[in-house]
Amino acid sequence: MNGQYASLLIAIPLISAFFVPVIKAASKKAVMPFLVLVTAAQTAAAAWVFNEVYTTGKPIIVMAGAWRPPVGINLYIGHFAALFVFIVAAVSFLLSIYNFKTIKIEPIDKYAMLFLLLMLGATGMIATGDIFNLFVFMEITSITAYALTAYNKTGEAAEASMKYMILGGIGSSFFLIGIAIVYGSLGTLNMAQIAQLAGSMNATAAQAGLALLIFGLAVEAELFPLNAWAPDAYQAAPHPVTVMFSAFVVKAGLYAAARLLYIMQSVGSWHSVLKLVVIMATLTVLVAEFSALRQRNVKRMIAYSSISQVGFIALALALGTQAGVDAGVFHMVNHAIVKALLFIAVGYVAVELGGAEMENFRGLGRRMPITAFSITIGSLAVIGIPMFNVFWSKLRIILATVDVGYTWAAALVLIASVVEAVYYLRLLHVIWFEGSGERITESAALGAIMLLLVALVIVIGVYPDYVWNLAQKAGADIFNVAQYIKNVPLMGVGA
Amino acid sequence: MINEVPIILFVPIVAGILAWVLDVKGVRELIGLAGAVIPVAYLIKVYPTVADGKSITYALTLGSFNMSFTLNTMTWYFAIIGAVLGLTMALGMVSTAKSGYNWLFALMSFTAVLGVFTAQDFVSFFLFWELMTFASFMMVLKYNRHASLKYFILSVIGAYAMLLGIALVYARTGALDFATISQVFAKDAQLTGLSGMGYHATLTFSRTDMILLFTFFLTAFGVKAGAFPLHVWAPDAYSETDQSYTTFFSGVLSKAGVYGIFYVLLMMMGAKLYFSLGTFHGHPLFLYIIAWIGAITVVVASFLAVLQEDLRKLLAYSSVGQVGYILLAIGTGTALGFSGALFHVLSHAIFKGLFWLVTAAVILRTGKTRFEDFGGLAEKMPITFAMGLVAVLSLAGIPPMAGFASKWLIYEAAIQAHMPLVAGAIFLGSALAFAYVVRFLYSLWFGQRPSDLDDVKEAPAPLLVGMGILGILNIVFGIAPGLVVEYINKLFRKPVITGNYYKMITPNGTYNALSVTLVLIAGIVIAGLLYVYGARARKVPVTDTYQSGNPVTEEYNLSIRRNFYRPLAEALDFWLKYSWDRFYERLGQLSEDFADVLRKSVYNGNVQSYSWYLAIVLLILALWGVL
Amino acid sequence: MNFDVRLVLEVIGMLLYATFMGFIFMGIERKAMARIQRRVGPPIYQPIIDTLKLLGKKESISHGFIYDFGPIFALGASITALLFLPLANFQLFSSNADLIVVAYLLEVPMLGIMLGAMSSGNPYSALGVQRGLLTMVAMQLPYGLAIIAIVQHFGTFKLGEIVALQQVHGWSILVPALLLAMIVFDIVFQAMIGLEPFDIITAPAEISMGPMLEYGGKQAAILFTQHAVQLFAETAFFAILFLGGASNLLELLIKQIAVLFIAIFVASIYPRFTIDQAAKFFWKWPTIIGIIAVLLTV
Repeated sequence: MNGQYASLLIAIPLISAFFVPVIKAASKKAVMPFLVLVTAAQTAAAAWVFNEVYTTGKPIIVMAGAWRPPVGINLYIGHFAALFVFIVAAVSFLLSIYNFKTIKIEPIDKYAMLFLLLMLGATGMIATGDIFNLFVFMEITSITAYALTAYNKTGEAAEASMKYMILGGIGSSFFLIGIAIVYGSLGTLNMAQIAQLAGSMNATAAQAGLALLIFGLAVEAELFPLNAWAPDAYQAAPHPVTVMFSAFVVKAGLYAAARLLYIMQSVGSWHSVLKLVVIMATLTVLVAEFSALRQRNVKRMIAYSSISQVGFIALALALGTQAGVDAGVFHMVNHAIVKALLFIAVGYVAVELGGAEMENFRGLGRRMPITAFSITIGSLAVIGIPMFNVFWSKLRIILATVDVGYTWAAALVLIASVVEAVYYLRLLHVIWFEGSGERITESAALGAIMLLLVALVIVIGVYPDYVWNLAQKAGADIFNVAQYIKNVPLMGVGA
Repeated sequence: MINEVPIILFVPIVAGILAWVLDVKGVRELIGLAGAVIPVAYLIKVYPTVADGKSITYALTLGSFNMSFTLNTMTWYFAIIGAVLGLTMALGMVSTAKSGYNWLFALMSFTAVLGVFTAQDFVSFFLFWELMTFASFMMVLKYNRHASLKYFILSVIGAYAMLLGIALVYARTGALDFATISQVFAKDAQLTGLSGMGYHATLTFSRTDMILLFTFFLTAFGVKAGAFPLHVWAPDAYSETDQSYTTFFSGVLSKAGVYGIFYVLLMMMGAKLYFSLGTFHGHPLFLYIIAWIGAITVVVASFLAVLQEDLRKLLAYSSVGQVGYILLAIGTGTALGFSGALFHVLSHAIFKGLFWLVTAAVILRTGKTRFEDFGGLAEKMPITFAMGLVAVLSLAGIPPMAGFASKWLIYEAAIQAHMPLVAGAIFLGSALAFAYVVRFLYSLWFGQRPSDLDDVKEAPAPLLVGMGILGILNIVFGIAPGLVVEYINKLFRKPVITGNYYKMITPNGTYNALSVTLVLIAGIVIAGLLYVYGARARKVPVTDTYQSGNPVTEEYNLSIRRNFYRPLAEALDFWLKYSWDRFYERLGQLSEDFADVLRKSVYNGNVQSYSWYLAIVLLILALWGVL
Repeated sequence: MNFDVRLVLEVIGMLLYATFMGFIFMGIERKAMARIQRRVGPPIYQPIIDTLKLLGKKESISHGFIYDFGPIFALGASITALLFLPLANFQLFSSNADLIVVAYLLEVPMLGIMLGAMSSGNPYSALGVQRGLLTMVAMQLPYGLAIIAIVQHFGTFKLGEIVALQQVHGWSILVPALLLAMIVFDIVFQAMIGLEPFDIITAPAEISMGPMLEYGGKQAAILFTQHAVQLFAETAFFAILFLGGASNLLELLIKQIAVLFIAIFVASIYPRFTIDQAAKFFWKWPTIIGIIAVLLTV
């Protein structure tokens, strides 16, 4: 099969999104099944791409209109993108089933459209090879995210959405300025070519451009203190959307930041930017964990925890070493699985018991055993208990961090992890050893989804080799810029 | 042929999972017991191999980390102690464990401890270390949230300190396996020694590195061993769980800390630490610090043990104190001291394990834990009492019990190492040990029995078997300490302590356990003859005593069970005002408040201030010179 | 240990001698006390008569097996401690155990007495047990320091060698540091043999002999015998550590009686401490002096 079919990854959600009103016109009940169908198709496409990339070992370059870069816009589906596009699709597929249980508020057709567009935006951000195209996908992602945050139509949701919008708006404006500076200085928007030419860039322009690009993405990537919107948005958004935020939207931002960082590594101020990101990432972890400590709303608590884990990833990606990037990517995968699990389970509890307040979790072990078990496994994994997946990536991150000489950063994030352990374990005690209540019949489909994710957590925990190999290849994709340049068939303009 | 190591390692956890999944009464006990017996059997089977100085290694690659587990002379010693205690724990749990949950986590910690003891690289060491903490935490969580969290937080702080240490070692050496790292340290130590003499050398580890490493690893192992001032978790955690499990928890898990100090700090980086940190009054500074930590632990924990009002707390503090002896012995820095420490690892495991089994039996049969509720049980549970007495004699260090043999070595080592004040702490500690074991004896077994304990029955058979195993070991290793010493000598590849099975000879001292036993028996026989020669004795009840002429009635219980050592508390009132436990609690409270303040000021919900954050970051970017 | 007729005879002889002399020491104690207090006092052999009388009683009571076993164990342990001391020209078993073992063995009888006392169920006995253990806790630190000073000075744990070294280089107390150690040891010694100001355990006027309260008849006789043996062993221990040991029994006896008289004089001057006072006292001066002694001998 031709590699160009990979453009289906963009095409399927985009076209389907436009078809939603048509489907709705046919039957309102068909909207949700339609979502399942589309995400299934997307997952299949992504799985094919994934298989293709990892078996051939070569990235798939999709050139729009057969124009060769840098004249034409290209998609670059390397090891990283193949892996994450698959994760995006797979998680979306699970969520499309989850939607049945959790989305009761009208208008469902709008929700379905936004859902697909959010998936599209994240996919695009990960897959694109063009910096302005990246901006476009980023805007698609964030605007749908603003809308979805407000979807629950409560006052809190509106407020959260507004905060998100203001901060996100500022961030993307600066990102755009950054693009302008880079373009003004180099005359190209193709990432491979930027990488090629970055060394010859005007020093001041390069510094300012890099800093603004990272600054803009840091808002999406939830780095402290630019993440102030996140807890509110996570809490207010519908449960499936929260899962999407945590599992891949933020990852797309992180990936973009990391990609831009590494392709511009010949810029003079590169090491200072890295150091700044390390500091911000460390603070992200620290502040988020402490903020979660006395949180009474479990969903918000896990939101803080998610932010802090993102800080972990950012720290690893900003180390500037192969080991760091590999560890960061590994942690991204693990975090996507674990946080999807936790948010799905907590959202489910909130739906069944009318809210995600801590009180509702009393006696959950007896009331909803499968959900409780899932939350337990998820929590233990996040804490970093061995035999669960996060243990391995945390270990890798710490080893990589100290290896670069940031012992203080490692120490601080570990202190934060102690705090994390405390609030998760308190939650577990509430779930298993306090209170009691009537048994609630749990949905078989959701139970299956959660148990699937639990199984993944444990399988990766016991046998991490396979995923670690994937992560290593994906990490090399980001880190090895020379290879990246070589892979993109540049037309030879301006070089 | 599959080698023995993975069987020994993984059978317990598999059995635990099976017991948890099946969770049928009767079946889970059988599976659990099998899971504990098999490692012991296999360890005994490989004894001839390791005793020859050969080793058995099992390697696997996980997450592209090379992990390996080895049974050699050193690791076998710790592993067999762990396995035997694990077996007695399982025997106890047959009677006391009420659910598959207990079996799962108890056997999980069994596997984890064996993993820690046999690991030959830092990844598997850390992995099993965390697993061990987690499993034991779950055993406590079920019974008490506060105690378990205190335990977990301190343990995790320790584990993360260790992780930083491991990462630092990895950053400098690029290796994670013990063999390579040991070589690097050994070479670096030589270079440090040379550069101390004026030669120029590029060192892998700087002095700062070594100070950090020492701090990190000492914290990690100190927490597990329950060393002062990181001991505060132990009394709560040891008491708030299934007491059969505490046999293992206090008998073996604390030894993981000791093993860490012994293996990592001493065998792996000892020489380097010595050259980097220098000496203090002729003692290597790092060992001197360990010795003092041990000495303070002994004294503080023993004093607190004496003043406890709860049976479990008393034994828990006593465990902390006894591990202090081991640290102290390691701190002497002599081969004799190390031998003493290793011997005490064994004897503490068997006598404290015995103590906890006795406690488990008593609590199982009476449902009480406070001294004021007990009394006169010796008549009701004679075998348990006899076993308790053996444990008491061994702990108090009465010749010829195992406890004395190891303590004797520690005395000799500490005094010969010219650490007089540290040695003084042992004297004080052993007097305190006398005091608290008598408390245990008096309150539980003697005096008037509260009427609600009148139909207490003897402990169930499996518990008695477990106690029997440990009781016999206490006596055997007491009379024939040479059995242990001979094995320990193999570790040093030279006879540190000479003599034969019954006799230990150190450079300046001797102890012939057999002759002491025989003379003691002869003495008792002589005294017994006097007794037999005397007139017949008439048996009277405990209430028929001299009471200054006042008649004694059944209504009043005349035994003194509360505040038995009140005068000591009065003498110590100044010191008892301070408590590390309260200090940590306060610290925890403060950090929770800090967390609140932080959250409220950072995530204050005001989008204006959020916008300011963006502006500030931009400003920082500009000031940093990257914008 | 080969069967050695000579050794067996020595042991039996020494046991008889020590028991007899122990009783005489007890008598001396009573007599000397009486003379200091300007009383006539009992004849010096009175303790022997007392013991024989107790043994001859027609009936005694028992509170159970441990109650009987306690005194027997105590006497057995005292005998053991005695036989591991090098007594003058009789080495007995002393080559089989060193200073630390003997120091421990000298404490074991206490445990036996306490076992018996506790099982009697008498609250006064329990109080006696508590006081006994607290005294032990209090005195153990200075006691340990004194022993450490000795070992550090001589560089050996073997009692035989300590004696031999003293015979070559002069008595321990001629060394300033060990003189300090001796002072400490002597203060502790009052507590070890249960004399004022540390007769807290038995305190006849307060808790009616404490641990011994319930005992009568043959058990009391055994306890008396135990006390005699213990007294002999402890005075000998003192002489061995600080007074150069002895080359014959007579020399040993003189030294033992000297030690005993010092103890008696001290005892007749001071009143009894309460237990917390004793603890605070032991942890102050004796400990400080002890620390100085051990630091001087490092």
